Amino acid sequence: MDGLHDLGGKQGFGPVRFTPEAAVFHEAWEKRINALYGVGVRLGIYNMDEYRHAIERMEPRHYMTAS
Amino acid sequence: MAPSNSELPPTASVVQRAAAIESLLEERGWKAGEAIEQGIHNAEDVWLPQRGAQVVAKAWSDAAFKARLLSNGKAAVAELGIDMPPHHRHLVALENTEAVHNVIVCTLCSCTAFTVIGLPPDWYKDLEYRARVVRESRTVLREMGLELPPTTQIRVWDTTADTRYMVLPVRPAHTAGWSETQLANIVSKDAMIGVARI
Repeated sequence: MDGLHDLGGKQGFGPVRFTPEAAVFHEAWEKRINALYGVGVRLGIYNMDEYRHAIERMEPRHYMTAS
Repeated sequence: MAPSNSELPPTASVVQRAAAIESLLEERGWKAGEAIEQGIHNAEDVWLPQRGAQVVAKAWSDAAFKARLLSNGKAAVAELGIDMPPHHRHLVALENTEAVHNVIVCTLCSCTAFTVIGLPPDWYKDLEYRARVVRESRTVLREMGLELPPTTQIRVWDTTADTRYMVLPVRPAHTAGWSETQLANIVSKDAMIGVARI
């Protein structure tokens, strides 16, 4: 698919909001969802390709503003 | 009146949606809560950059290990008891030299060798890094505080689901004679991503 998720080389973005040794998560739900996607794979509910396909089917405006 | 097509349809908050998925899995008897707690434990206490730092320190200290790391990263880190998920089929260690600097990115999302170098930092997943580091890497690295000599070649590696990378930094000259523990203490996640030098 050729969607907005494929960001390599896209122009117009500003500086990276970099801090050394930055945090991985900021909100409690982020940790839970990160763990949950792995649970889905291990349970065989979806595989990594299906997971990827679902990300690429996100509505572009949703995708660009999601955290 | 139908909503304007410039607006997204209303949805529940992300916290509510996350809770709804968890409770659906629980209803079906899949013990999601327990598995999620285990996942959080891994993220916070197991998949730490200290693991990757140990790999780097050993590669700096043991030439035979370094050769194995460069030829088959996944097998080499397994020697140190570091596992990788089955779909992380390859770990490629990228050796920095004075002439070549490696930096990793996932232009599509957030892929990293997270069981080795730790989960990706917030900025690694941001649109700015993913878009720009492949097109103007030298500028992006400079903005992030890493000024490389113009003679140093920069190689950017785009991670995939199957192939994960880690950067093997240059060992600083002043560390001759240091133990692996001392060496591991100076290796950061940022250096193993390639946005910092040691």
